[in-house]
Amino acid sequence: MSQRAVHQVSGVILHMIAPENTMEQVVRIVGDVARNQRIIYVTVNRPYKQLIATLASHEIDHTKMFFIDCITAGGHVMEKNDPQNCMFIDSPQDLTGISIAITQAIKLTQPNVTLFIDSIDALVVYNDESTVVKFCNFTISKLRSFGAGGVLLARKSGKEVQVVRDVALSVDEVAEADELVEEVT
Amino acid sequence: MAADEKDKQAYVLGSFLLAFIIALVIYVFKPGGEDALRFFGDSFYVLFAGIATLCGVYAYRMSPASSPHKKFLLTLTIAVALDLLAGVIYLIYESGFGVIAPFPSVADAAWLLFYIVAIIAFVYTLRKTRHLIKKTTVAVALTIGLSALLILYAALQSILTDDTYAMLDKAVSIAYPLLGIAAVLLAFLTLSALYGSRMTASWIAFVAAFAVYGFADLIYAYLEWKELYVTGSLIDLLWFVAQLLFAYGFYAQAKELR
Repeated sequence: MSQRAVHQVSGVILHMIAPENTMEQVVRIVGDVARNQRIIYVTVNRPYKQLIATLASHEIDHTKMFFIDCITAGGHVMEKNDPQNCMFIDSPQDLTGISIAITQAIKLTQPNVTLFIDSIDALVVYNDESTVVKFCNFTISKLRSFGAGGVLLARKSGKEVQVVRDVALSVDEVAEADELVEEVT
Repeated sequence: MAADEKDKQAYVLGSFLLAFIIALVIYVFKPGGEDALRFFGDSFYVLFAGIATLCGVYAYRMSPASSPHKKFLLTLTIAVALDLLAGVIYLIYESGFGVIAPFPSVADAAWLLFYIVAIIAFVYTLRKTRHLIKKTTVAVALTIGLSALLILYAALQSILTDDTYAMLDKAVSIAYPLLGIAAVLLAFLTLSALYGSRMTASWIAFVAAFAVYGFADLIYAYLEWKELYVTGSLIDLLWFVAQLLFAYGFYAQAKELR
């Protein structure tokens, strides 16, 4: 994984993240990419509010990012003070809804945009693996057709979920965030 | 898996098995004598390599556009197509020109290229998936590789030290099993990186195909040195098995990619 690819994501990368300090690693990758590219962040692990608080605490400008929040309680009612840069999806099980939201977000934020999915192993908690693989492959094809970059995050454990191995040959690169952090530092 | 999908898979596997059994029966009973068997043997080689190539093209067409997987399938299909080309050249030598068991020949060049292109395919895949391989697996692969090299050295030492055997003949004889070992190890590492995915069966088929191919080539190198090899020898059946394993590996990938 070269430093150039970290700053400027041009393809689709599957990032394996060590189970320890996952948020630290994610924030560093996001912060690095955000210097040069607009980011669409699909969160399946943390609610939008918690996520932007974390990014703000690391002095990462999140106002130019677009969020797709799949974890804030389902049945979220639109309010006047809802953020303009976030879409709320009822549930991580609604992969069709997530996919439509991604398409809309790419169209809104193009060009020079990178999609983050945090994370594909979290999607497996809510969906069966074969459905997540199809969703990932469909999203990867979509990113290529739009000319957008993509970072699929996956927690690295002793026994990676099947979906990681199924997606590994669809992405342009499988990278380890540990190395990435060292290289960036 | 849907019932019609299972039926289709059973039909494909049944066809492969039937074709192999027909070849086996012809090799055992040798209808028409040695000359007919030579023609049948070369023709079966071309047929099975053709089936593997067609399955490779099918898998390639099913794979997602611009993906590393598509590039891998393209490269491995080119490798298998080189095997087909080599088979056709060998058939022309034996049945067209009447040159029996030509060695080394243009066909050997195509066969060596088959290995080299296949190795490129697996190196490319491993560059993409190396983070999914455990260090212990690499250690196991290296140990197996070193052991295989030692066995190879012991088996082919007579060829290496034979002053009457031409240098080019020696080089080709050694290159086959050496490239075979490299291909098996790289295919094994790819399997270990992607073990547990929906396509595990196909990766196992590729490893098995290279293992059978490499083993058959080792025997071939020895028989060729002893001037004992003729088309119609039972080791031909090993190549047929390897080609059908390639065909199955491609088919299994295409099935999952559909």
